[in-house]
Amino acid sequence: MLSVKNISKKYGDVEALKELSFDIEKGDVFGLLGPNGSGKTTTIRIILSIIFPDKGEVKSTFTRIGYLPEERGLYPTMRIDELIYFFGALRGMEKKEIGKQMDFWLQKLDLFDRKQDKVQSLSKGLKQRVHLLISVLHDPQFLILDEPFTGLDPIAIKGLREMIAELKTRGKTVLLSTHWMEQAEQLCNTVCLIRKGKRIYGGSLRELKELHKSDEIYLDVKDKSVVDKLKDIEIIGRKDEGFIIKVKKDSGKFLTELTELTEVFEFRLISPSLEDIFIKEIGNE
Amino acid sequence: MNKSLIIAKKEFLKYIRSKWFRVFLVLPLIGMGILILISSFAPEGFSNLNKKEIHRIGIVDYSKQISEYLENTEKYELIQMDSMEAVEQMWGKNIKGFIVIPQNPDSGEIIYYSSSLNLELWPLREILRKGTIKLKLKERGLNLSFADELSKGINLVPKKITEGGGKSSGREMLLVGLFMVVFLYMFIILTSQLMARSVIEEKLNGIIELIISDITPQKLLFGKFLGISVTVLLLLAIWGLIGITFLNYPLLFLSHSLDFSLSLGVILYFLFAFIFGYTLYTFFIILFVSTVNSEEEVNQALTAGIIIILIPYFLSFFWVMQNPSSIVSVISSLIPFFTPLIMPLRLAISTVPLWQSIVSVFLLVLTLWIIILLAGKVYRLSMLLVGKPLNFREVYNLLRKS
Repeated sequence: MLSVKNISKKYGDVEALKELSFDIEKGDVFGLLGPNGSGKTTTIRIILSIIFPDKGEVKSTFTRIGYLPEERGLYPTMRIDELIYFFGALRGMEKKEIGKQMDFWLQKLDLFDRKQDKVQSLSKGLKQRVHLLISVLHDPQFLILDEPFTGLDPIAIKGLREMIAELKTRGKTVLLSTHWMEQAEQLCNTVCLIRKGKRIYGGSLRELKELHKSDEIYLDVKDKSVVDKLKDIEIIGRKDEGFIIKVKKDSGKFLTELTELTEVFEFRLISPSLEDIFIKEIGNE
Repeated sequence: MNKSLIIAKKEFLKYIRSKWFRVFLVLPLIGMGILILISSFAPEGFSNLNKKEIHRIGIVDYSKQISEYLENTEKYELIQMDSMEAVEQMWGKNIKGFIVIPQNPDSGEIIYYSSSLNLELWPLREILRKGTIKLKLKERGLNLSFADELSKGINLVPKKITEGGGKSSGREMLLVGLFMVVFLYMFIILTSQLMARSVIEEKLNGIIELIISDITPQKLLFGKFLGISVTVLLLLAIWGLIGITFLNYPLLFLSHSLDFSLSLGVILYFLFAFIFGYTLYTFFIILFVSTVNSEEEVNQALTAGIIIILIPYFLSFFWVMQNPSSIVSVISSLIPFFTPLIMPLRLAISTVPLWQSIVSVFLLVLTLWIIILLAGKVYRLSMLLVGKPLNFREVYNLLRKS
């Protein structure tokens, strides 16, 4: 478990973090969400003890932490296998163990045939995979991914998403820092929304969505002209082939009456996306 | 393995596999090859060092007195001629040069004319001195056989005497001192360049963030320092070997049985000055380089650092060597940034009071400790900061807060 308690950090006159607190439980995929410059990377650096907070503390029971930083540089003239052995050794791994883990992950990330290539010969996407491999090489209990989707093509994004999902099933704890809400929504079970170093929300994603539950309904029917004539609804707008409406009476009763007038293709409560919530919350702030 | 050693190993392998290392290895080889080639073609090249070549020298004697007393030696053949003939013979390369003796040798200057002034003049001076003595003996009606005895030179050999009573040869000690200055200077220049590049490369390409999640900045810096030091030491050792293999000079040196006997105290001080001085300068340059964010700024930072190193370097050659016990030499040898270059030279060529050695050691160690602490802190605080370079005020504020 990791507990961040009231951490504050200032860079000169700029307050990067203001009494930020959150907890991450074992097995969570935790989303640290916020716009650019909101203090996500500073929070991560404090968790990793790369920098230290001016106030507050971080308590952790994780002993092996993996890290994929947002700034992704590698030694260009080193071979991939040399680079992996170097980082493995830095983390105190035995040579044999490094070789075993390296081969496993190289196969999994489709890089096995290129393990003796120099880093400078790799494309940006492949370098990203090498980075990812380095971050999981020592089988971390807790993996921190800072903006991992930046610069990836859709196939690579899908691959990374699958990998995070697999880590989750293996009981690993993941901190995902991103401003890509779509990815966070698919992967995270708990989130912390921050803006200008301040927490806006912290808790489970399900509860967050529940808090922002809407009474708007998506309606698609065969005879569109019927909708304009209905009295007990308010039409908010059009979306795709259907309408976004609010029903002023019992929705079950309304649906029964509607089906008598026309064929109903779709009638569902609109659940707000994490992106919608994010924009709303950040906008409100 | 210790994390610093892992970094040291990586740095060492990186540099010895790099192109520049191969270039630096090949350069002296090419240089030596060119020297050997030139010397084999040039009539007065290095190959002639061991040859006994006879130099023909013209004598234009307006006094009409001395020339008859001048004697040829194994190396010099003296030929009497008039001035016109001397000039012609010289341009025709038949003679090396010519000596013009004025009508009254006692009042006028004796001049040696040549198209190239690379000849050792002291043997000619001896020949002329002996000739003059013979002329004087003849004028006074004395036996000319006294000339040899009278012209016998006095060999004044400089020996440095220490407070403990030990003696060592001053000329050779001066060589040791100067060698120390040049070697340390070369070592500092090469190492600080590599350290600066290594630090800025990691900062600019962003890998620093990944590394420092696995190792503390101080250990990282120490590992780099260790790896690069070994690389530079290896390079200089190889250059030394190439020099010994390809040039006769060092062997010639040894064949003259030079007196390099150094006291244990001086040897220890040399070692101390080398290790501490080199570490001080390298960390001092890291202090500058940590605050910058581009290759261009690295060059500026290196220039600033190297200018400071140049001060004791030039002081050594142009002041301390001539005046090792002067007040300027004493004060500059106690300034920690100058101590590593100046104090060993002073110790080599003069007798330095013990208190001066002790104070210099104390000040150097203290300064090194402060600089390492500062460089480590500034490096740790600034390595993740990108954008504009930090100015002194910002560095001060960062340090104050940390």
